[in-house]
Amino acid sequence: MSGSRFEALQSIDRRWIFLALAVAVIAALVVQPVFRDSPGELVVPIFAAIEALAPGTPVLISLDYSPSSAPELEPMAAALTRHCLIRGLPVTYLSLWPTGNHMAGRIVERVIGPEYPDAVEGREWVTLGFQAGGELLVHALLDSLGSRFAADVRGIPLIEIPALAQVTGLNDYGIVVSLSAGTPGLKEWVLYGGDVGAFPLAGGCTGVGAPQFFPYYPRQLLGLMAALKGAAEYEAALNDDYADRVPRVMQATRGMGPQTVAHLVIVAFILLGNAGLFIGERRKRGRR
Amino acid sequence: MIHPLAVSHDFGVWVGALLTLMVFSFLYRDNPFYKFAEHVFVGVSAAYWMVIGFWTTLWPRVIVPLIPEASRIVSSDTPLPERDLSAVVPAVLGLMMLSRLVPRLSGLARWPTAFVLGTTAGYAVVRYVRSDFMHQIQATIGDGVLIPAAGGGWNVAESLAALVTLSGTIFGLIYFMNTRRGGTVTTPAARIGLLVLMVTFGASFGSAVMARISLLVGRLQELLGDWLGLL
Repeated sequence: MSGSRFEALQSIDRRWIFLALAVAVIAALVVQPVFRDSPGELVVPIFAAIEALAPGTPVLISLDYSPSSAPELEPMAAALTRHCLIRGLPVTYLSLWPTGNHMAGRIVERVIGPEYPDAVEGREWVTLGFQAGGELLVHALLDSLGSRFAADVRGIPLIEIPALAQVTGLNDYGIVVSLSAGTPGLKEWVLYGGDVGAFPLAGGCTGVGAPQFFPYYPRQLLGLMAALKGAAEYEAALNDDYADRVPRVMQATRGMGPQTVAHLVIVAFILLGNAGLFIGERRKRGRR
Repeated sequence: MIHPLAVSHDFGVWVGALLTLMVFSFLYRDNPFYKFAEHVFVGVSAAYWMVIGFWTTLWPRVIVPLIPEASRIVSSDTPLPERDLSAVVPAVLGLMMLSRLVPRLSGLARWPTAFVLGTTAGYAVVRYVRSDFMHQIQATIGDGVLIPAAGGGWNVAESLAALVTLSGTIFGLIYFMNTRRGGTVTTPAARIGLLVLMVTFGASFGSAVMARISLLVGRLQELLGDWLGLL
């Protein structure tokens, strides 16, 4: 191979890389390789905390994301929902994002409806939906849900909803989990909720946001599900303890196969580019 | 496992799939299909935010408190809420914000802007000092660098992690103090700090790549599964 070919390795047209990546991911989606995860250090405390709650203890899941980040965060919401419904813990969904109502609807449509047909809205789960305010909303909810939500998304007053019978404010929840794709999201929950209130706060975040939230663990966050991998780890914990009550391969675990293949392709291109650089440089020095 | 082709009959799925392909076409080069999808996205997002904003904020917090009879428009059997004239304050502030649209009155918009910025800054400063400053210092040095193990002795892994966290923080701070304009590093300690920052940025970049791949997998799952029914 001539020196110019090695140089060419450093300047491959990016469109070939995109094409290679697309082919690799599509192939992996079709073949569906499954790489089983095991629950990691940051995910285990969340799973253990929900396991430790007495049946009937309310759990709050804040769906602070939109469809653009749903592939990463929706599997977390689905896994948490499965865990809570299996354990008999009524779930409250709310959102700091205007798209939150739709995100909650997808969980009901894709998880609760098909897998838990006996679950009743208002008893096993309730959707409060979106409210404007961000950090001020979190602060207001500390003392009273009713101060900001007069009714759930169906228009039923909170006082008539059995899932909220034990709830006045955030401190009445057994655990609060914010699944966050940006602002307002997990950071606002830490600053204005978890650090001020007396409830355990856990989080789930996108890969982009993860480095921002790692420093909060373990003092300010009970645990953290970071990106699709975090969701896959939670699914692995569910599979370990409730294999007969959850799907064998869930959404995040299914996504980790193509994800791993895509990473291998990226690593291969990085190695190729570096090999081109080093070999090209060496040949140039040799010619001098 | 690959299934026989079973293309969706859902109009929404088709719209989503075609818009996804139009956006992906930008990877080849800029083109009218991408521009179309981009404009649709911006338009739909703005409209969605406006509708949600109206029904979750403007309607229940301003219009209904000021004109309780308006609630009958949505539901005729709803009991009339009490009139709450305090809603005049946010209503007026909101209208003052809109005064930017009239050049002669645009100065009025400074008042609600100042109110929002002042309130948010005053409120946030306490929380940030507590959560991002005090608690983070405590988390960095609180337990020292020798972490005791449950069964006696020292937990080597945790102690090493605490040492890396503490020294990484100190060297990172030294980098900012011992760097001249133009980025010239002046001391060996600052050089280590630079290394710490580079590792941090590398980890962040790796996380960002991982996140983008997850989104790609998600879109392709919808294209191959929901749209074409192949999965």
